[in-house]
Amino acid sequence: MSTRRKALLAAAALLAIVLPVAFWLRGGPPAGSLVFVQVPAGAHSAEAKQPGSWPWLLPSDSRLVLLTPDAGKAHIKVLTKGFHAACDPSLSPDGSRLVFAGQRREGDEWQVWEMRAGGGRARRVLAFAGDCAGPIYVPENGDPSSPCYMPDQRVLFAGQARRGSAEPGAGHWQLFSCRRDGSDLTQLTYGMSPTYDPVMLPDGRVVFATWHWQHTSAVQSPVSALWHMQQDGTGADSLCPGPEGYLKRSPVAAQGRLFFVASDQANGAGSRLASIALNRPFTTYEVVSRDLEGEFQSAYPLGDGRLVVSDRPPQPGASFGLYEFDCAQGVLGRVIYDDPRFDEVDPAVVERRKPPHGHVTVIMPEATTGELYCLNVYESELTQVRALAPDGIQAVRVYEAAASRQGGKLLGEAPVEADGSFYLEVPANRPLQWELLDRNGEAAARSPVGVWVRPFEHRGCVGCHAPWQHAPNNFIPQAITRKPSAVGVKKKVEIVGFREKIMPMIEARCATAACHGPGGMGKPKFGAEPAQAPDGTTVNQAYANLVYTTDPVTGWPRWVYPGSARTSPLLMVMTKHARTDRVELGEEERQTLMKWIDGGAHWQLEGAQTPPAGRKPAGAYGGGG
Amino acid sequence: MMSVRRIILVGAVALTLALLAGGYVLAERHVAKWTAMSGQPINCIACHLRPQQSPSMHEAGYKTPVCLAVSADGRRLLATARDAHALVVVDLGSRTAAAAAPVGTELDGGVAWAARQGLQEVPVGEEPEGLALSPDGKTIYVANRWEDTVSIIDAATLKETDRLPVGDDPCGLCTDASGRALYVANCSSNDISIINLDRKTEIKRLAAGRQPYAMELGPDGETIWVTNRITDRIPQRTPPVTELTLIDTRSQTVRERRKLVNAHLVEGLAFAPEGDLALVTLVRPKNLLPATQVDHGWMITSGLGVVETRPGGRVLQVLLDDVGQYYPDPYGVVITPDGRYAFVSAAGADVVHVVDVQRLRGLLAHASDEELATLGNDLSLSEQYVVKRLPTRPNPKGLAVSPDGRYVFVAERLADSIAVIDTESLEIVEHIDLGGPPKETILRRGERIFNSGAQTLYGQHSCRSCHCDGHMDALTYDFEPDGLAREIVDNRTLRGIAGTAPVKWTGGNISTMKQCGPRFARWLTRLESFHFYDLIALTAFMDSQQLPPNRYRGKDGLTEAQLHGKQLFARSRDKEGRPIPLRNRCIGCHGGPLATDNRLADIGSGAATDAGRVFDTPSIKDVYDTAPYLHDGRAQTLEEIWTRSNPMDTHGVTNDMSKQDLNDLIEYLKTL
Repeated sequence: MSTRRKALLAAAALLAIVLPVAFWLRGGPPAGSLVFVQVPAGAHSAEAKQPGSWPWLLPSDSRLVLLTPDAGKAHIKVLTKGFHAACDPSLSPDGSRLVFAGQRREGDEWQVWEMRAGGGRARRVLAFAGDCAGPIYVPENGDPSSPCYMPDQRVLFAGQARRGSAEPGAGHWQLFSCRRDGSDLTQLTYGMSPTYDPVMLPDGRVVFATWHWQHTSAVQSPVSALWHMQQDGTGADSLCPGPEGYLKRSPVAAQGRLFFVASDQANGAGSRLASIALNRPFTTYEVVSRDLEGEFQSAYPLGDGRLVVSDRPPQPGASFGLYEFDCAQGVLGRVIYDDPRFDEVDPAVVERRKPPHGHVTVIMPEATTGELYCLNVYESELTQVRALAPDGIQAVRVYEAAASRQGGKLLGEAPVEADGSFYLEVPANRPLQWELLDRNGEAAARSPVGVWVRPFEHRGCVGCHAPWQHAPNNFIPQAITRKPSAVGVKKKVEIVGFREKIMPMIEARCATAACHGPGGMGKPKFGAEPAQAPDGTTVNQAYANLVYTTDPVTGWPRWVYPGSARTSPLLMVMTKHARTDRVELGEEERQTLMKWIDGGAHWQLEGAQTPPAGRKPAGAYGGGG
Repeated sequence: MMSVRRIILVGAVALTLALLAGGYVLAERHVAKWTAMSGQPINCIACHLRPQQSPSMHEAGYKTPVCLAVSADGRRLLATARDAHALVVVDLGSRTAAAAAPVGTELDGGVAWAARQGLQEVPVGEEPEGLALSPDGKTIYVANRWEDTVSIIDAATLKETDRLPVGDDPCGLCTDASGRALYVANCSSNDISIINLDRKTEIKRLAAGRQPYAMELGPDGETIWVTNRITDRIPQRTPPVTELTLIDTRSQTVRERRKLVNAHLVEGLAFAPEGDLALVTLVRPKNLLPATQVDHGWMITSGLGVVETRPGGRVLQVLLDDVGQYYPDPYGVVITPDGRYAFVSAAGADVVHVVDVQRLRGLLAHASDEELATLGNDLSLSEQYVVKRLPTRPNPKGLAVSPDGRYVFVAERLADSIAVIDTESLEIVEHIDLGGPPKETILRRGERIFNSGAQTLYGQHSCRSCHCDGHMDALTYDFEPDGLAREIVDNRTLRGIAGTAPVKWTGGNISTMKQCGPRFARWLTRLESFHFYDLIALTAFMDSQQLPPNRYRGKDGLTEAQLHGKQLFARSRDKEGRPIPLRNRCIGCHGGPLATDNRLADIGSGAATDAGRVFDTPSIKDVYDTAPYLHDGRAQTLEEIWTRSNPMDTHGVTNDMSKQDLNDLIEYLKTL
């Protein structure tokens, strides 16, 4: 081979290496570019969304586009050619890559995809058995024994696992995370309601939106609240509950505040832009869009006190467009982009940001339990609990929360010490609820939503609904000097079947000819004739009347909330609202009745581990989609 | 021949590559073993050469200003420079003139540059810290911590005229109203020296709390207030109780010992001009709670004590922290002459708080007794009295206010500069550079990391929050991984830690790098662990922490009692003549140059709450300064180790010893 030929070959080889690399490095779009979603106009309007048709966050025929600065309308670039639909773009901290939820073909499941910020081939991050939405980058903190912080090597997303999974909350939207290569898929949230719209705070927390029942509201439907937790699902807690802004979603953090879209309607109609200060979450709710009419869909911080917002002006027929928004003045600035044929939503700015902090997990995945301790239950904002101090609370009762508002499986009971402390070992990854019991065994307070403990998490609380700004006192709580009370971990709670124990009692005491028996005046009727349960099994009339009768106004059970004796109207009627003709139940009978309800109000012991059908009250949210 | 040579060459290359590959694997394992981190760069020099070659702070030319004072005429700013071993004098008058002159001339370095900056260094003893002026302003007193002396400097000539011996580790100091007696807080010997300045001799020692630190003459002109840093000796696992010692300067006796409950590290002290209030900086530790989380101020909170100056006055503790953002290691406090603002430095957050004093006064006046106990846990209260938070350069410490109240000066300790705050605009208007080296050495980087709360969730605490001055805080802690209220551990000093591995009471970590790496992040700081090179710098700084000079080793050798103690320490037979096995003699485990055998031992101290029976043998050098003792801090004094916690002679054979023997043994141990 001649020298010249060798040189030519070498040059060609060099070019073959350099050119692709240079092409690859040419890479990202200029800083300040904007990635957003375009949906055919009208698809995103509130009228198109029905409360039950969750999730409406995955719009069909949507596409991701890139707008480079000053490029004008004509120069937007569609990033997701070849996708039937794509939404929820989120950029890595260095601004080089983005993840999004996409649907390759119509009817496919929505999956998490990744591509370079400037466009290119999309790579599916993982094969998730169900729909995915709202992916974001989170730090990889490595194996717990050898953590290595990499700010963008994990992806956290909302996923709706197909029904049939054994995990609690399967069928609901839950948050998951996995490595960028799709390995190490972990479920993070275990609530009993849909959870979505995750976002990272600079301090490493994850904020997300979730539905839960509004405890105090007169509105008999769930509200969407904002919660926060660590990256591994520990320390989950409410960040911004109601009542202001019935629905809250699409949070973003900027300058110590959290901005989000809030609406008084479940379908998001009339949504405004609201915000809270992250260090005063419960007292600083503020509608930053003030009197601006129109509808907001999402926002993204520009870093200088302004936001990019997706807003639809109030004019009829207007579509969502992207606008600058001045938070201090509460006014819309210039139009960034608006194509009347499309709704422009979910903007994200291509820029290099300071990566959020990491969080070395304390979870040990092989553990099956976690621990939960409370320093002083009387340190509470609930007046009924404070009123019972200094030693009015005797015990704490733990339930595994059920999908419905009432009920749930009773896991066990643990003592509350004289100083107000308790210490529990509870099953991990289960939505739990608590009830504080007074000296009479009556519930003084019950936690409205299910909170989970992750495997080996040791979670401490200052009090029960303690004021959010209270640091704990420096003392040794009595409860932690003993072993934790294992609830729902080792021994099973005694379950009473209706057929075996309750029906004989009713026949002897209640179903008399004068009262609830045939021909009696009392209601409900406690007949022994067979009746059909909603799931098709055969029960008797007394059971059906007690368990399946619902209140025509609220849609809730009329007499019995399975799993919660102390809040069931039946017990209240029998023990509190005394009537002259009331039959006095003995203490033993009363306890049996309470055990039956607390244990799940089962028809019979046989097969009692499965909850009776029909316990879910009519009119509950259509969670699960 | 050619082929043989080729074979040899290929063989040599292959062998080299194999050795390199094998070496890399071994090196990777080595790093994983000593740091518990995998996937880290293999850089032998970074761990094994650079830290060892890093010069000391003094050699590197760092200044490290700590305490400040302003002369009465307001023309001179004085700063003790720990690493320069000097008193730095900033001529504020000439600086004003220099500032008016055109700028832009190049620095010519050294003396000329310092002169133009209006700087002058007066050499004093080692590790100067406390600083005071005589009432007439003619004399400057500087406490030299590691020399146990006080330098007396003529303010007119800036020459050191005398150096007087005082107690161990002198920190704060001040004169009485007449200027004839100097009071010095001896941080290690836990007492207060009173020096007659006419005779220049120490005439009296008063017992203080533990680690007396700052000192000021009270507003009545006859009471000297002394803050103490760490808790009194308290029963095991009870809340810390820290003393404010009040001394009557007429009788030169202690007038009152006021107690701050659940607070410690009281380092700053200032009086409102009205005379009714004193403000002290303090830290509220949560050491009795299991350290299962950082959120909600669960680990450490920082704030102020608002103290009524009248005898038996009330004390209100309030926080300077906020929800989700903490300001650890409060150090200095000054109040402007008009009594409007207090300035408080938060050394671990690089912030100076501006506090409205009148608001604090109102809070104290209206607080019920119940509120006095609970307001100190309210993380949202600070918005009521913190007017502004001014970001500074690293590690703001001592403060001083100009006599006219126009400026407040802040020593930016690890930036070798002094910030100037305009009290009208409440802005930092200038940073006076003291001329430290521009390059950051590894040790200096380590010291900055050690003193910063940036690597903890919400910035809640720094390493220094528990290891003040690299020492310990006399508290016991309950860390999470072992279960709640289990495996209680006493905080150990970092002084002299080099070579004493394993670290941690259970001996679980073979190096400080392993101790401070992932494990620390997982259970303590709750954020990502330190970057690898930051970890090297941090541990290099920790390993550089020296033991202070031992004060019990006399120049003339051991005393008679110490000699007797030494015999007991090394004895191989008890009083009955029975032989003592080597591992049950004092010297068997605590012998050698580091006073530890670097092994674990079962001395019968395992409690029911401990998982194991064996514990690390601690180095007992300077043991007089590290109470409480044993792994869970159950022994308040050295004597209690044997009189209460050694019934079966499992921690050395000591039950045959008389009271006198134990006294002598302790006398000897203190000399180690």
